[in-house]
Amino acid sequence: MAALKRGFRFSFRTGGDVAGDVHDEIAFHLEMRVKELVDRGLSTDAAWREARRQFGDLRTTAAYCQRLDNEKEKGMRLRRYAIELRQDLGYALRMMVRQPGHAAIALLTIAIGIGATTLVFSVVHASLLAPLPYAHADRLMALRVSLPDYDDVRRSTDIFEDSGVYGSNLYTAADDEQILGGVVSDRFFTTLGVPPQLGRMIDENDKASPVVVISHDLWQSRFGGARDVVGRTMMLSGSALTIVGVMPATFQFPTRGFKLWVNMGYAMTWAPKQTENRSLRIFQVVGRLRPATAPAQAQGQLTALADRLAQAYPDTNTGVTLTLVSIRDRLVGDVRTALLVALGSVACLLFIACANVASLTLARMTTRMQELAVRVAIGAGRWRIARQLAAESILTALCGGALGLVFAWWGLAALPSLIGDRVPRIEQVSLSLPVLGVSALSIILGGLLVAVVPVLQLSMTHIEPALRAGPRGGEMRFTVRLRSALVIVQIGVAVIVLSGALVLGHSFVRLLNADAGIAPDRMLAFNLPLIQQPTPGARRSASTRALESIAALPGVESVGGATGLALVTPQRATTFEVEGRADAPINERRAYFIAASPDYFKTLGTPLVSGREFTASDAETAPPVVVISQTLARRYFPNGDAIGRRLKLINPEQSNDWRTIVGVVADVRYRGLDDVDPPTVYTPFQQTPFPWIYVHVRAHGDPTALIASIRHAVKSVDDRLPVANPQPMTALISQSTADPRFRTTLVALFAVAGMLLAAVGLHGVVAFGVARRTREIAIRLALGASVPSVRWRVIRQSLALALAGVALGLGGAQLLGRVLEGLLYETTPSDPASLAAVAALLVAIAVGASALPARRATRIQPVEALRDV
Amino acid sequence: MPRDPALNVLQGTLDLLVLKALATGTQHGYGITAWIRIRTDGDLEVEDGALYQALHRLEYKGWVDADWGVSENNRRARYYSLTTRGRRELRLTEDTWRRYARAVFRVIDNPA
Repeated sequence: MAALKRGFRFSFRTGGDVAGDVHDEIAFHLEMRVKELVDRGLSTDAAWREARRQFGDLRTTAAYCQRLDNEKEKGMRLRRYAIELRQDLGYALRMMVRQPGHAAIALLTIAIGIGATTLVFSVVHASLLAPLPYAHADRLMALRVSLPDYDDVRRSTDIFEDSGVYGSNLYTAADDEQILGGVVSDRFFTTLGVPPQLGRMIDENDKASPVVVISHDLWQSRFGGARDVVGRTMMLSGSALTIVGVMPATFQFPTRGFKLWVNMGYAMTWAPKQTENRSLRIFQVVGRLRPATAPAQAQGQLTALADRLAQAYPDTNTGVTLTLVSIRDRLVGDVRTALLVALGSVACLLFIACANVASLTLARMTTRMQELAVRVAIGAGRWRIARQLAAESILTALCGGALGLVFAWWGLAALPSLIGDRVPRIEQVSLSLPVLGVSALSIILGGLLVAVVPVLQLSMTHIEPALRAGPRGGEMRFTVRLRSALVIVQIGVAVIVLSGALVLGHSFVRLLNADAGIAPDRMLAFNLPLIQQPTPGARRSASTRALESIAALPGVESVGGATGLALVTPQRATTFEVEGRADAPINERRAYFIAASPDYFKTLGTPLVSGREFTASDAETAPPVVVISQTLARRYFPNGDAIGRRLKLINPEQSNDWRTIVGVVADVRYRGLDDVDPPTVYTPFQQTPFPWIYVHVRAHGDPTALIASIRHAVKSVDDRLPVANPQPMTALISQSTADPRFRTTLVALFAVAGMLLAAVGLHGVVAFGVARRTREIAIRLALGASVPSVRWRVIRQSLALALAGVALGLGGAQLLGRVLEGLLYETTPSDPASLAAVAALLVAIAVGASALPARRATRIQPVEALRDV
Repeated sequence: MPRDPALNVLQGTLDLLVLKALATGTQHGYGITAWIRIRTDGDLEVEDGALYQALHRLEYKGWVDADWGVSENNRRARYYSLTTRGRRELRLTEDTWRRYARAVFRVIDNPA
């Protein structure tokens, strides 16, 4: 048997075979020599000795021969593999060229799948996975606090090796441009550990001096990248600040929007009460944990501290927690789920794409049975043919993948302008090594999926008889079953993505129709910073005069102002106490705190529920009053008797007086459309003059047409007053829906693409089924079956596949729903309307995909079909 | 190729003899030793081990092919034959040898 095996040219000898061969050869030689010597008259013993002597060193020779033979075998094996690979690839290439239509569809399908996957993963990688550009970023933590609380954290815990605190502020440049900046403590930069590109960082020695560090961006845009920028003075909101340093372009903390960082020591000289206000939790600590401190340990210390603070300061700290989160969660928390959902969707798309190509290959294989049979007949082994088929699939996957990378490369260029505002560190998105690695992995997995299906099919097929009789019924049935299984999984996966898209879409529509409590048409809003009016009196008169001068403009219907901007930010929140209800739990005693001018609610279009809104008579010296939101009123005064009752703000910065409730207004959503009915208290601006006011102007016509005259009117009151960021209210609404719109669009895009591909797959299977059963259908028709009944049989097959896919997909959709929950507004993940829509759509697709094959089936001419076979 | 432990000076000569032996037809190793002894009247003593090393070396180079066959006394033996490349090598080596030998003879035969 072994000899037979070795005798066959194309099997290779193993190392053992080679050793055996060498041994046999030498043994044969010695025996021949001994026989010769014995014939010449030597004794057997002497003959053996003589033969061995003539041979020389036996062992060395045997070893030498074996080594050479093994080398040769190895070379031959490699050469044959190389030759076969070249044959396989050459053959695959010829097949592709011979059927350019099929090749193009397969390549494009895979290219789109790989391109989209690469693109989405490159974003995920840059935003979620790539290391943050800060020293010891794994130990950096964030914590939301008030400044007095931060002092306590530093004094009574030792969890941080180094820590700083920052807040944010909108600064007005000399040309009225609004620049977002951080207000940072002396240890802020050292904690992050990023050295400046130019100059120095803010440190302990700066005390209360007016210094600022600017971003690379601002350095380029405002100073043209001048090397001597350090030491220059910059006017920000009326203060002259000295630039001491420029940060590198990669430093975008906390977000890309932050263009400068002002010394907190200086900023606090303008707002000294912020350092004492325990309820002003608008600051973020960034701290580097000690190497030996686990986050859970640190959290334990903070929780204990929070409890102590709640006892010491019940008014401000009851129920307030100190929650440590990793810096990465703080910086990318909002987009994480959205990005992961996008990644999941795109992976589904890739799977559907590859399954389609596999299915296509299967269908083509059936028509190639004859060719394969010929190849078997002329001596190709089954394994050889399997490799051949796999080579075709893998070549398709590789070419498609390469094309996909080109697509991704193009897409990358367009990315910042498409999603730049929503995804952190978008400019660092690139086809980096890890991204390419994942692409390569996707290509390989895709290639394997595409390759394994035809090989599986081959393993179930008796090729030889195909040469004589064509494919047999059983094999065809297996092909059909394999393709059916593929298409069911495809539809299932598509259904998962689709139901996700529908649920997100449903949530988005609800969000768009949400009642924000305002009438946004014909309205303009802008910020009027009053930072250069240092006294409360100056702020009172400047704001009043500015509002009056705008109201006098032609084209203005009404004007009002408040310290919060609807759909964007309430700016401040406060703790309060309703008279006689000091026992209410702390979390029911928090509310947005907004100071408003007369006519604010009228201008905003917020309905007055009862009482009155502020008037000019609610002046500084008038009795302290307050207007509350409907939700707040309902909670504390369920009988509708809020008017005339009293409440007090616990807010040392602005007001600690008991205030009489004079009005109840409809709820306004201050943080965005999904900020459902937040309790809000309003005070008259004259009684609580904050250093800014958002002015709202309702116009008779296009509000943006008024910007120039408004600016002129405000400057004529005081030319230091900026009109900052004037925007139509409708623009603010669309900004506040930008994130959900982006998410929904993205997932919807993948869902539509996936569904189309799945529909193509379904169509292919049904069409194949019709082609396979031409004879059967012909017989039915010949026997008098009606056209509708034949059509129905075809459609029924399609429906059965689709419904099986739906059943599979809806199960998966339940899992997806749990992931989506946090992204939804007043919509449940298993929203019955969405699920019903999925089912309905799938039925439509199933009927659509089978329409053509069904028509073809009824066009079959029985006589011809039967004759052909 | 692994280094040759056998006599290096003889190697070229031995390879030539083996190729020449196979030029007349397929042969096994023992047959080649016999052929060499007959053609050289026993003047050239070739160590059998070195011969087998030469055979395997030539096979590795692709100058000869080897296959198992049945010997004249019905034993299983490894038969060698020249490949096309081997035939070409033989011609080249013969030419080289003739020129080499002529040159050496000219020196030896005309001692003046």
